[in-house]
Amino acid sequence: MTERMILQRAGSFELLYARNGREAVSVAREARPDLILLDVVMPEMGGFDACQALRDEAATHEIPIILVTTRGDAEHVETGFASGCSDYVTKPLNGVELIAKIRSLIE
Amino acid sequence: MASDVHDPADYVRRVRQGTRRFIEERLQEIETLRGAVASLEEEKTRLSLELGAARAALERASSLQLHAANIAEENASAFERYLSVEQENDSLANLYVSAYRLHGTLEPAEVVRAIHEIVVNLIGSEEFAILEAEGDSFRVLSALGVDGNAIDAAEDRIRSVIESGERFVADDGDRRLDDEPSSGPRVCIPLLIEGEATGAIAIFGLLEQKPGLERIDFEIFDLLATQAATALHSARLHARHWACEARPRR
Repeated sequence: MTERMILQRAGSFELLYARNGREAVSVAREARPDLILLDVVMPEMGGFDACQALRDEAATHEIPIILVTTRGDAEHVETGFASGCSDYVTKPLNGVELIAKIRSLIE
Repeated sequence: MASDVHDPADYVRRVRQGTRRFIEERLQEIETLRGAVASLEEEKTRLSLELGAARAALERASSLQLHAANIAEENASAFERYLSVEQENDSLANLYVSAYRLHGTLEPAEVVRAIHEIVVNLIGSEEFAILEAEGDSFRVLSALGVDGNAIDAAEDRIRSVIESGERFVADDGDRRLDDEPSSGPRVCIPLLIEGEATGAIAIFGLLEQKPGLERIDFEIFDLLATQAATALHSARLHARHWACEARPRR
């Protein structure tokens, strides 16, 4: 929700939402967005699994994915990249950094 | 031949001729040297003009260098100002997001969720509790990463914050919980309605990648202190109102 607010404030993005990892995979499969922002901790299917599932799907395997997490340790980051994410942001969220990363991946 | 040698008039004539030639040659030499001196004078004037021009160019270059240094300094200062504006912008964005989240719902549970999210996402803690005053005690509305024992152990501190309405920040407020076993909250923020505390947020530790509390954190603490309880109170009043409306009338 906080990420949503930050992105809404940035103004230039059309946003789609999912309440959990499974829904995120399904929404992405249908809508094929330009970028996916995934929280690592989500109900039903976590961020790492959702990222892996998105990478395994032909329809979504090329979409850039940014994982959002509270843990910034090397092991955690490595797991994120191993699951196929394109970039990584850690909490507390820095709006400027998040928008910059999104723009660099989209553009 | 012998008569030539011994003819004094001839000798004098020859000496005269020789002297005249010598003088003519010297005069010619003097003329040549004069020409050389004139040419050197000309060269000197030209070189002196060139030297003047070079000096002027050097002065201009040094002034340009100074100007460039001033511009570089101005540029650095403008960049610093830009960074500070960017930081300020980010801080304002965080405050805006926090305020919008708190007041963007009339659902009490959603307000608590908003407070929870603000603490995790914008302050950067996964060890905290959101508490509501209940008579002399308090109850936990939401907690993350801390159990009842830790909250019970911090009861005195939390109660004193609720009673005084004053925010508490430990001297070592920047220390993370991982550094040593927690002996209490690092930060405790009263949740105020018209100056009276109705609850508190006790933060026991910060995320590992967060080096410490920053100015924006204190601004968010202030915003939570003044807005969170009001948002929760309004949402509860609204929920109560709708519950009354929904009750069948006799």
